[in-house]
Amino acid sequence: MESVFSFASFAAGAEVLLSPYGFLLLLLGVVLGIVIGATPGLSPSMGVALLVPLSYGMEPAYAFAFFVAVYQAANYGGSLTAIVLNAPGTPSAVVTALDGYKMTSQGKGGEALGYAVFASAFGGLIGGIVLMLFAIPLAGFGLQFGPHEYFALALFGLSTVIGFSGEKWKKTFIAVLFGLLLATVGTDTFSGEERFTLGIFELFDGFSFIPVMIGLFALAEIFTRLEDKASGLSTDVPLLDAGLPSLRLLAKFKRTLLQSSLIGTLIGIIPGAGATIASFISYGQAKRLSKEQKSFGNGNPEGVVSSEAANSSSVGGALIPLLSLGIPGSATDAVLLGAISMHGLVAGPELFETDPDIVYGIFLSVIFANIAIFFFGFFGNRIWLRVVDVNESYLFPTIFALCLLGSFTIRNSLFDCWTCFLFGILGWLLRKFGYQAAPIVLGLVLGGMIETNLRRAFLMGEVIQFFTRPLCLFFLLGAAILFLSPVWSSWRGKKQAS
Amino acid sequence: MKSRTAHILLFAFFLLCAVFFLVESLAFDSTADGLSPGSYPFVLAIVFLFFLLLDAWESLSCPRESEGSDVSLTYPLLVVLIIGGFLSFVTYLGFYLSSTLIVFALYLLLEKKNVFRGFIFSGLWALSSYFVFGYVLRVPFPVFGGG
Repeated sequence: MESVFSFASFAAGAEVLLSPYGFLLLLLGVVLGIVIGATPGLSPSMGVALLVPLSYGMEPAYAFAFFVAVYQAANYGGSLTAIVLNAPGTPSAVVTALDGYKMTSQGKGGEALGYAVFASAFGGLIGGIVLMLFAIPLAGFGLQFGPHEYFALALFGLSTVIGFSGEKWKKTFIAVLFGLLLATVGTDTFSGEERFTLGIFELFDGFSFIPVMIGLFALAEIFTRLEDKASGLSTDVPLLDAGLPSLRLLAKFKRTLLQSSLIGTLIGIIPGAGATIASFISYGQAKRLSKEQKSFGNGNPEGVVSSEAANSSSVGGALIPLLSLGIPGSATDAVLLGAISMHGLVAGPELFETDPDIVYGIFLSVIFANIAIFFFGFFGNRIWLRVVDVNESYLFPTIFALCLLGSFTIRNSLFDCWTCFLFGILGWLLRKFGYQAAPIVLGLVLGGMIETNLRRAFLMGEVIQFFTRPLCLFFLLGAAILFLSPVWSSWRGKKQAS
Repeated sequence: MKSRTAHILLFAFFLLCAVFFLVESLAFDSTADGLSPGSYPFVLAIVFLFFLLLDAWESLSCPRESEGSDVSLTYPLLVVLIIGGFLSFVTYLGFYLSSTLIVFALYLLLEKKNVFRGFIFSGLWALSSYFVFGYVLRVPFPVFGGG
């Protein structure tokens, strides 16, 4: 495997980032990225897209260092509101909320934020190092994925939530199927026919998953807390000081950190797979290999670590096909590709030769941005924790208004506000009866990928290839094992009980 | 409202969804590859319906577990009404005025005293949201009078 690392190019990239202007831009990018990621409704791609016009007058090398800092920090920012308010700022932070918010409810919010910032920075660094050393050799990995592999990978992603749902596997399965059905609403990409839209114009593009996610998590959480208040239960969230967990505690999760970072990087390389699948899969793997499987979803820090390390490292992974082949690995990369063209450049192997300062500037900004995230996160955590302490008569109206505002911002449509509102009510009812919101969001996110690639594979006519292509077979077998494991456990449990 | 009633409502909602997707997916003609736009959702809806009925059957078999506690609706229902009102009137009142009103109403719901403080808080909210989303990010919110 040929490495493309070059010291001369490295020095050119370092010159960009170590200049006062470049360094300040990087820090500004990190701060903006954290705020964007933490704001429900503002995704990393939207954040970068909003900032692209600002780069017209900038040197490309500085502009891309800035964008990459925003991109990386926005991925981390999503975890802050997920942990503190159960309002994931980004879809990949949905997984972080599963254990992170539980930890906050148990008075371990500071610890959860500490784990999140450390895992994010560590995962991001791993992603950045892999990007710098193996960008071109690894680019081919993503290209091995055809419709069969994409279908199998998405199915594997879904199976992780079902496989580890324990006794509630039927409810989880129902939630996943509901998400998958919701994903079929809109215009069919193959025939152009409208499906299940009821003639509502806004549904022609399908449900936007951000308002659904905000509703199911943030609004549902507030409804639940209001219900507790009406029932006379305490709605106060206990607090502990923010800070990093001790090195001893962090060392306990070193295998999870490394494993999740590598999973995130590899999944990031696959165009279109993205941070959400990476988070779910690495969470599933961490749970599978953990000795404390039952505490996952109930405030296990390992859950936060696995999710954050994976979604952060997927950024570096997703930049590999973008820079090496000109193929965007995620929505944010597509925006970056547009920005590259806007600056008169062409992404691909040529860029490594013509503009090494830009390419290595990007590599180094991934690494530096993660170091900056660590420091900003470490000191900023104390501020974020104070949010939990804000009087609920200020906090709840602010969250409600922010949820509706964030939903509107997605497509400038009130329909998305209604979506958020109605899914908030649904999410509130769902959690009362033991259903989880995360499988619905995952079903909605992966639904399009599953259907499109399944139908593509059928169109290609070689259905047998599902079982003859090694990568596809690997993921399908993994998915089958995960799907069947809770059924098997449930059957065995009943047999033992009888 | 009893928890069981709410559970039945949720089940009815899911059932309605399943039937809707099932019936609607049958309306599509098949294409050259043999899979119509309705084939995939049809299969999903069948599986969804199956698991829904299975879950309902198991819930009925152990009624004690599913009864749970009563659902207390006072606050959530009031909030639902306030937000529903906001979404209905935002087109006419404009975003800033209606968001100020919703924040104020929600504040009053949770904090009956300190009305003046609530007024100041909702005003500050409107100003800051205008600055960040309206001025910096240029989000085209609905304006007063239906613009």
